[in-house]
Amino acid sequence: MPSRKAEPAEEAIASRDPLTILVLLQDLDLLLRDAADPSQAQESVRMGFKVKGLEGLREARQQLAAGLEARILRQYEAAAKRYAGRALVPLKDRICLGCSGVIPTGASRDPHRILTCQSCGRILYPL
Amino acid sequence: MAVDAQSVIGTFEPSLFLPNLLSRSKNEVLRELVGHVQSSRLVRETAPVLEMLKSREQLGSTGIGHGIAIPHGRSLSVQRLVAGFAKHEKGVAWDSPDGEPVRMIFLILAPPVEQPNRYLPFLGRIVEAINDPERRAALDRVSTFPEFQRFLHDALS
Repeated sequence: MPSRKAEPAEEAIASRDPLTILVLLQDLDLLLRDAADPSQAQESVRMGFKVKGLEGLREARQQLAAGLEARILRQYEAAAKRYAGRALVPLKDRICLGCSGVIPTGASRDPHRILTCQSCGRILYPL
Repeated sequence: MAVDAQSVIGTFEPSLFLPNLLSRSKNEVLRELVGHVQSSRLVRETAPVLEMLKSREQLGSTGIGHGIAIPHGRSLSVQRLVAGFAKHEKGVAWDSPDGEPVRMIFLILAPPVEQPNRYLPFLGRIVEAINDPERRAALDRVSTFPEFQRFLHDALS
């Protein structure tokens, strides 16, 4: 049976490194969470903005999540659950900005390897 | 949290005052704006910021009518609250409630977490600054960054 041809959006996601996909995923999850929060959505509408396309964004979220290895997605979702949606935090001067833990000097900056804070378990995004 | 006029004015970047946008569509304008954000080194990487702004538009247009749009959102790539203002002479379709093309654009970017949290109050102050026809007409006449700062001062003080 011939394999299914990837949609353009899926191809674009597949060409990205895991860290970039995680950043996109967290940004999108925060947007979805704010849009689904009645008080925040009400405030946005009061300011004159439209808030209506949640379904389309949920589909985009599924496509992004599908671009990650299952173990990385599990790690992200576990940290997101534990830290109110903020599974990824900046890493600056070897300090995790989530818990202030110090990251060893030998830690990798390769975007294809996911760096995790050994103190708090958050995924690190080097600035 | 209250955000005072000086704090609002100080958040706008001179390098993100763009009086002559050239792009022809909403997505192109967003790309052009983010390109300037990149040049100003205000974010770690621009691809997530552009994606986030497009996602926000997918959620619902940030065009609020009267030729004004306020694309905004939070991204991990953004390290502090950043704001810019741009104008487009001809106007660009933005799916605004009144159907008017957008000629004046406020760009507002924030990190996921801020201490203190200024993002939503800041957004509210921008909406407040443009909520009457005289102010919008004054904003339409702005052509330099100092004029824009004076506009904000007059509108928010």
